[in-house]
Amino acid sequence: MTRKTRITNSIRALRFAAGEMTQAELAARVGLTRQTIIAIEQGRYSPSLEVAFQVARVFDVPLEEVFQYPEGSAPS
Amino acid sequence: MSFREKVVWVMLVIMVVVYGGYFASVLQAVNAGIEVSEIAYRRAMLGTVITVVCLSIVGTIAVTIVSRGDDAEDERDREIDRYGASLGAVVLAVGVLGGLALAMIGAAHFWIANVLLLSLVLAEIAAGLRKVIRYRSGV
Repeated sequence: MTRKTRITNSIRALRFAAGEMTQAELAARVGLTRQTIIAIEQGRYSPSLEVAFQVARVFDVPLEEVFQYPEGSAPS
Repeated sequence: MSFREKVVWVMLVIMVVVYGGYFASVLQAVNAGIEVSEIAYRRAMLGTVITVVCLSIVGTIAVTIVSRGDDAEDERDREIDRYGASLGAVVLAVGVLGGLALAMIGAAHFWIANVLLLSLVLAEIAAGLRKVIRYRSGV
């Protein structure tokens, strides 16, 4: 019954680029637990839009540089 | 494992062990052929419920200590909590309907009380299981 999300993200790479920011540090900055950051990086959880924007703000990039959705995936 | 997930696991273990013990002893009495009106379940039931409440408090404190005071919860924890609780509500409703039916046919208090407690317990266990599955499998 696992519904794998189709949203992918570049958080791991962005963390690395941001001076190897730890999961714990990112978690603290956007008000999540470290376990939720792990779940997001593994594609096991899609954060709320609010949190998604906050993550993008932390890395100072547009939202779609953090989260991507496959092309041509309009809901059927 | 997040603080909330640990608490869910601890609650599951407490529920299964303590209520499992209670229902095992009650069933044993029934199977032994004791008239249900003779089974002194009230004291045992109240004692069991109080025990579970106390253990829950102790368990949560223990998890907090193990987590070194990091008892943070976030939107994912709350979402999973609601997701599990929605299944618990259905289980509870079915159980309560069973209790109502027993009351309407004039069943012994023993059966009504125990079916109601059982539905509470099964509802909590179903909710807890659904939560840990969600924590593990995700989305």
